[in-house]
Amino acid sequence: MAVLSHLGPTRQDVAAIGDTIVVGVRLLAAAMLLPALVGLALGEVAEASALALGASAAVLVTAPLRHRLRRRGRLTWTQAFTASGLGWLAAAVAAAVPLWLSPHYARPVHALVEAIAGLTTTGATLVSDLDHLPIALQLWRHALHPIGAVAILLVIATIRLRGETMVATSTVAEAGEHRILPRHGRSLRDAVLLVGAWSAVGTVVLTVLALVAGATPGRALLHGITLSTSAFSTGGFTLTSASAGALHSATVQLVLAVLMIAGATSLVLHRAAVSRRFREIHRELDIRVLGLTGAGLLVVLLLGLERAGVHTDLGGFVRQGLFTLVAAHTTTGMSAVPPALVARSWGDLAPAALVAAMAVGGMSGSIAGGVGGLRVGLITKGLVRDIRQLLLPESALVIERYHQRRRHRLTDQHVRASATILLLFMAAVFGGAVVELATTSSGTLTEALFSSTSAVSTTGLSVGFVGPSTPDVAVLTSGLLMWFGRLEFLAVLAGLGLLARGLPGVGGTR
Amino acid sequence: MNARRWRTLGASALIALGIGVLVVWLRATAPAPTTDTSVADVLPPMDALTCEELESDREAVTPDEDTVVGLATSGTVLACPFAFDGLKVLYVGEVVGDILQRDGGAWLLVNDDPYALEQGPLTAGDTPRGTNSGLTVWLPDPLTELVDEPGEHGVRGDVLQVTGTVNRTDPADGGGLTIRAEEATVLAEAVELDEPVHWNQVIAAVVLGLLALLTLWRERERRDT
Amino acid sequence: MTAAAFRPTAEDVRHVWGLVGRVLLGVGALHVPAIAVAVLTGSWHECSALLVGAATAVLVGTLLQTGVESDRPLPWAEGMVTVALSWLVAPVPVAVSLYLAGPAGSLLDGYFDAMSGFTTSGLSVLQDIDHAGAAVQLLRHLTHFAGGQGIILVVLMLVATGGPHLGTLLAGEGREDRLLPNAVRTARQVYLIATLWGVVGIAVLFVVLQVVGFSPGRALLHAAALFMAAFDTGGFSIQSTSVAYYHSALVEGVLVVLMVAGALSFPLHHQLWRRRVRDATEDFDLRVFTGSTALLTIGAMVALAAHSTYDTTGAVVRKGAFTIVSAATGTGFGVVAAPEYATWGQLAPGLVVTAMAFGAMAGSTAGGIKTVRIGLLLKSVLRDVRSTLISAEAMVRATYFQRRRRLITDEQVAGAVTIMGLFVACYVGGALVFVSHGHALEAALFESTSATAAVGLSVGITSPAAPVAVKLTTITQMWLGRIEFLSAFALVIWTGSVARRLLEHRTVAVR
Repeated sequence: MAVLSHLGPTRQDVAAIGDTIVVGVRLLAAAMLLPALVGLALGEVAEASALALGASAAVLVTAPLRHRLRRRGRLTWTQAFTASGLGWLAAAVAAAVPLWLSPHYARPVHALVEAIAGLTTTGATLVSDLDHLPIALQLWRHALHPIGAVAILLVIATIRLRGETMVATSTVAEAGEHRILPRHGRSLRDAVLLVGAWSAVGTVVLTVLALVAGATPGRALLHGITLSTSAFSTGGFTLTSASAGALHSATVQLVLAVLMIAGATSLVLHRAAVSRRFREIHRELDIRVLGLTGAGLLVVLLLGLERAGVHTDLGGFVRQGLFTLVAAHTTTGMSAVPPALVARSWGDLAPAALVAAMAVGGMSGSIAGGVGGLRVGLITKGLVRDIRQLLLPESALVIERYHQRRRHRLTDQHVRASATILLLFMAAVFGGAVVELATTSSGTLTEALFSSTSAVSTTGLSVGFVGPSTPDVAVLTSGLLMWFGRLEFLAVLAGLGLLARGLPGVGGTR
Repeated sequence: MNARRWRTLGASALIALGIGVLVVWLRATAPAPTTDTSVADVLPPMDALTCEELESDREAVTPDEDTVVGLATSGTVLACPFAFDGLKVLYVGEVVGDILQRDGGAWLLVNDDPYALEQGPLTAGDTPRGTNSGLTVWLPDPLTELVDEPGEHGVRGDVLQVTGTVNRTDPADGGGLTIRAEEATVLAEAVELDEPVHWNQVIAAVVLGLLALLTLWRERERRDT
Repeated sequence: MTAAAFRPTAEDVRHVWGLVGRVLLGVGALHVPAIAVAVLTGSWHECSALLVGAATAVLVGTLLQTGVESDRPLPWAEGMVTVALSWLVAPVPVAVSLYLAGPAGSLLDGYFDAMSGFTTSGLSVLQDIDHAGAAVQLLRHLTHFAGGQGIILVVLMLVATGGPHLGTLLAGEGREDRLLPNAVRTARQVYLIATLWGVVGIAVLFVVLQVVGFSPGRALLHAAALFMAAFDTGGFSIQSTSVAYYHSALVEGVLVVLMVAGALSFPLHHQLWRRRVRDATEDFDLRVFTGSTALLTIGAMVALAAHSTYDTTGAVVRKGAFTIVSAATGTGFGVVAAPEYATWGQLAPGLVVTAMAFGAMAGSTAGGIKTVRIGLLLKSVLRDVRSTLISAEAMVRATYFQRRRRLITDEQVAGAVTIMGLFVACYVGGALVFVSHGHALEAALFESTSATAAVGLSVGITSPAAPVAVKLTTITQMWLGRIEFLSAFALVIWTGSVARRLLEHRTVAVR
């Protein structure tokens, strides 16, 4: 049985992982052709040729690997896990080539991190002069969001499938040798259908709304496509520097909020909704936790805005406060307010609430990032159980239960596995903040924490801390944080472990 | 790792390196457009207001409600929105994106970043100067007739000078920060950039594309046998 | 449900309050040395004030105690309730003394300082302490000593009658690792070790202070006070400028040794006493504590140097290293004035907050999450990471050493997560209260962490002029952090059921 062990990956492991990554990169290359054709049709020759060049480059670079590495049979769990960790980075490099050819990305690092931000559905942008960006490039960077969304749904459906509880860590040791489910073809179709259907409906609705808002037909269609793909994928790239405020329409923001929440809803629940099994949805731990944190943080946010004297009327409170909170909590990161305004005049409390919302994130097993409602819920339930246990006589045993599609009994293992992710999340946030503080001379701790939380939770909400004028080290760090956060750390570590052992002298091949 | 696998990786790495060199060369040889987008000579010759002077002694700068205090920039208004709230200012910038016509006027995004006022839209050979920066302007009818071409790729939009009041939280825009214009003039009409075709890049794309197709075709053939 | 353990009868309630009464008697006894000093120095105003405080304690204590059987066994839940209640009631007589003697502007301020003393925090809202008399100073520092060794232990030492049945009380304070099966013997052992350190520590400080220019009388008072504040990881000081007052690297050096000694767990002291050195040096908790403190110290010094706050290396070491040790041990001695932290940049204060949040060894007088929990969580995460990296057929195990090698269980990790979660919630919750009173987030987090982890470093949010809400929040944080939350939950539920019982009773009576 092929297992990655401390003895090093076997030849089959390398072949299977390499082959999977090559296929992924080539699919991405194929996706470049659509914006290339649009660019050609619009006369954007430079961008069309850049995209074509990028696609060809991806095919040519992978050709020798494709020739040598051949996967036989289905992937094992560990192989798939590792492939996803490395695949994201490989795809980002391929996706960055056409961006790198554009003058809108000052340095290669900017193109690379922009691609990572797209594929990890973060949406923090490093583009210079967004308002004059060619349409073909706009379409390409926005296409990265749904591509990343489909990919993460695939990972959820196949790799994390075993845990209805989605506690990835506990399943590594148990599931490592098992072949992943034979239905991953179906999973891919499901994921494409889900993202495609929501994005298509969103595009139609938002295009109509953009027309109503006063945009010209062509621009309205562009707004519709970019906003809906970005919102449902919980990404956050937008067409103009005014982000979600560009159309000056409350209805548009409402539709975006709905799309974002749909994106932050787990795959399992989407499936349940399709088969009309709604009955027990209100008992889901994920939903209860997110309902509570959402409501609680909204109160804190509004309190903070009120204290900072930001708003004078109810409309402003609701439209800016609520929208920003939804964008943060679903880890989408579109903004209705210029980042500089949040940094300078929102006080301390409101941004703190946004940081908390980003850190909690959306439902576990959804496109959204963050620690996940389920994990936060499991840790909280563990806490409640411990307190109850302590107050009872020593002989009594407290059993805590939670609901996720069915009733589960809370075990210490659940708590531990959730805590692992939470702690890794916190470590990444603090580590990132320290690097950013050390490399950028200005900026406060709050700003640094805001931006690194925004990166790790793949939100992309900004206080203007990381952008085209930031030092390369800080930019690269936030790119790494997005990659870590998107794959919940462990897949990345598994990938790095494979690379380390693959080197001669470290491991060796069996 | 055996020798064959190293050769495979080495081949991939070499191709990647080659493409990297190609991209660097292509970026360096990209032809710059020749259109003159400069608006420097039509800009009002005055210094922009700073947060410090407004915050230290606002009364001194604002004798009464209807006086135009001075030139505002998006950077300073966003940095100290409370100081600017309710002031009547002069604001200059390029209209970008959409002209969102509504009842009685239109919403505009008016940028005053270097791409709008100094070097023109970012094109090959330019030094990137950071993110865009602008403010929302409400232009009442009939002033809306002044603008017809907002900036986008390949177009430097109409450069507008407006006199209006800064609204830190405008109820009409869901609490957003806006400038409600009362007067407006077009300082410079929109300009379309003539972008020369980057033939090196087109040729490179065609050649690499053909190579890629060939590779795919051979791979397929090998699999079939 | 929880209710089963909480149906207190009238007798149960009397029993709990009887034990609290015994604690009050102990607090009364605590006044004796201070009153003696007042008499000796002839400060009659202070003497009378302290007498009133002591009398309050003794009177109420005796009243609560009358008619309570002392040899009744104490169930687990009631033990927790007693602990929570004792820490709430014990500061009251001291608050009376401080208020009447002058330095406390109100009874609330007095209660604040008394709570801060008993919880070994060291935050203070007293006014003009540079002019406070020796008796008041001694009383403040005695609260550190009493609180540090545990109010409960004080009782056990002074009124050692109810002995064996009180075993459960110790667990409620988060000092579960019992040295010896018998609580009274434990207490004696604790005090023997503490006294030994006391004699040596005071003697050394007495000499050192004279070297740096103190008169013998002042040197003795300062030596005693500094020892109690350092070894019990308290942080009160006789002068308003805390340790910066002494302008002496030597004093700071001695204090670092005492603070670290105070941050070591009593079981560890016990092992060293028994010369089981290998057990001690291989102790997991000790290694985590020394490791994290060393890392944070280096980090803070690098950050200070990078921010060029200080010109010389000496200044960086003396300010940076001392502050980190003071924070990590939960003492809270300051060598920089509160507003000066603003010149430290962003990173160095962040590391100080981290050191405070982690706390020191479990079973010491320090507060905070405790390094053993941090270590357990770290090991657990590393195990998960390793099992992902290796994905071997064999399970990856994680172990730690505490007198013998032990396996880390999921249950331990879950327990550590619980306590860590509660602490973090308390750090953040308090900070939000401070932020809502107009303080910056960084400063609020600093002060809030300092209060909850019983440290006592301050950036100036808690001051005599602070609003009542801020003072109340800080008092609650110090109390919760000291009893590690769970006893507080027990108290709330217990009070609820007592109140319900009283209401039922009244309804019956009306009929």
